[in-house]
Amino acid sequence: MPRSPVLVFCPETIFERVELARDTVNFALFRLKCSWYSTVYLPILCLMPIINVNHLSKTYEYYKKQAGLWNSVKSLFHREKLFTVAVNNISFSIETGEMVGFLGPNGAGKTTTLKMLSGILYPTSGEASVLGYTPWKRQKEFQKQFAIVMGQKNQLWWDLPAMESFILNKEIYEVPDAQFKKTLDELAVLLDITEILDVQVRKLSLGQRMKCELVAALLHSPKVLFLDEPTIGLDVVSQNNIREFLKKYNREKHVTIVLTSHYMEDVEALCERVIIINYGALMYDGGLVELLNRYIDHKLLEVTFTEKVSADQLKKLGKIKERTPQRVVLEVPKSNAKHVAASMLTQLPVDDILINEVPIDDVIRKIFQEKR
Amino acid sequence: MKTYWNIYTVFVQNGVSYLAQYRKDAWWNVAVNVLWVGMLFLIVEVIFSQTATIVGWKKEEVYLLTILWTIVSEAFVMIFGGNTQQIPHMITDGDLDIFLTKPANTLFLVSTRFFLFRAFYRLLADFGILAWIVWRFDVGVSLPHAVLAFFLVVCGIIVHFSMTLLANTLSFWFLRIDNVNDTLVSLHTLGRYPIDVFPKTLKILLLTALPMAFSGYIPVAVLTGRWPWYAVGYAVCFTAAFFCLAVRFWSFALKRYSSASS
Repeated sequence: MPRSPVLVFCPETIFERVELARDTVNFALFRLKCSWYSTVYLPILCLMPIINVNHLSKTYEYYKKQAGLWNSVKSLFHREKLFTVAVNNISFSIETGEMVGFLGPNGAGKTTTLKMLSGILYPTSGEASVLGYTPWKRQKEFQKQFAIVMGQKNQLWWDLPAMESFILNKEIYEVPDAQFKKTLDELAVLLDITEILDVQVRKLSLGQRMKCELVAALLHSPKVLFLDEPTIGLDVVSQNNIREFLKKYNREKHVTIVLTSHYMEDVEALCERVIIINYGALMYDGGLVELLNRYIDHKLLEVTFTEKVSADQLKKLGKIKERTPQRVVLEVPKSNAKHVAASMLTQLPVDDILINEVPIDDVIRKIFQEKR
Repeated sequence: MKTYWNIYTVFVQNGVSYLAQYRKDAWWNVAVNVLWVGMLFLIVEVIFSQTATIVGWKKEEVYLLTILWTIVSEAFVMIFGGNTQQIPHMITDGDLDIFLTKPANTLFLVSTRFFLFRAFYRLLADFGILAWIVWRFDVGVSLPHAVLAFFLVVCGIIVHFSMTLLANTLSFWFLRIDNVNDTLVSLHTLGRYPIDVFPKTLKILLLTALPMAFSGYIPVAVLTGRWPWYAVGYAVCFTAAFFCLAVRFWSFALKRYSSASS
């Protein structure tokens, strides 16, 4: 007589995830363990994150060498080995279609994290999955579904027109001719680079080169895009063009984008969610608005006057941040901002008044200083 | 396989495009190469003006050795030369990053991406010189021997590539080893001499651990009947083993890659 199946009621033992389907719809095949030693495979549709990072760490080793000739000679025979923790036990997950800003000062571990998520580096410990794959296994199926753009590195051939690099990527990613043409035409129009496709890369401006780098990265229609400082060194117009493009691309194609940038304008314009790391450790993971609410309890009132106003009059209303005879920036509690603005309008010779949020740069700086 | 063929076709096309940007350089290069081969022949001519044979090698055989060695060297330069020697720089500068993210074999991309088309012109000139030697000295070469020699030349190119790869892969541990390629070039020149002139130990070394003999000596030894045809078996097995060793070492080293700071 067959025994009836009895489930072991411990989530980790009932279901064992045996394979992930590689698609935008996150889908997993679970093996249902039964006490009669048979297994039932259950395809389960579930909302799994497209990027999942668990306790990821990366430690680099390096050698200490003091300056000077004698110390250089000494270091040939003996040198001190040191370790630096670039990424320290970070965990987070990102859902399909999200656009996440990865923030932190220089050396915080942002780029190292991106390099691990794109399979360039092996972690020291921890786990990560992107699109259901372990990135550092460097599986072809995974590599065909993501792209990385590094603002300070070229993938385009310097001495040849960008078009030659696009054709090379077409072959590497096995993009069919028709899809290649369609995607290239779309991207070229969106980024306004139709006229420069046949110009040698070394003759392009930095902004044009970055646009071409983006095209090269997007030709195979990746589902995940890692951008490491894509606007670095660009003028304000080019920065804005890139931002507008990324915003539109994310909206239309539902591509998951992880972005690192030192320009807060990038993050403000593009990302609803930010992950902040410093010294390799995760310090904040959440909405940009929540970040402001959590760390900032004041607003800035920027007021210009029709005539000189004394500092004593202003001190009563709030903390003076900047002041010239006919202009002041006051720091006032958030809850009180409207009331103070109204009082100023009635009591002082106000020409113009603006209630501003604290610049995101200041918020980030404050977080870094507090947690140092 | 088709994908790799397509990728390689683009590499070759890019090589042509690159050449088109620097046309004058290409012709200058061919002229210098012919001059260089001429110098090598002049040295052979001077040596043989003093003696009829060197350890049993006649002048035309040494000419043949010189030109086959040159062909192996030029073919290596054309296909891999500028690439494998760039590996140390790619590692220190972090330029390997982008190749690691591509859905194609990293070693293939790294070692074949620049097809040096101007070396192709030089190679054509070398084949012209080879034809002249065969005609001028009436070198009797049967078709099977010619096929074997061609096959051994291919082995020579693969062995030379493997050796260069092994040496340059060391840069994953020793970041500044630019001189390794200069050393290899110097060692490689040993392949254009009849290695019978060297002491036995060095001869064994050149056939095994430092296999420079594959770049010229072995094809000519088979072609002139010094080595029996079945010696090709050794050459093929050694080439396969040496290539596998180099690729395994590369794959092992790749796991140690730590990129460079941005």
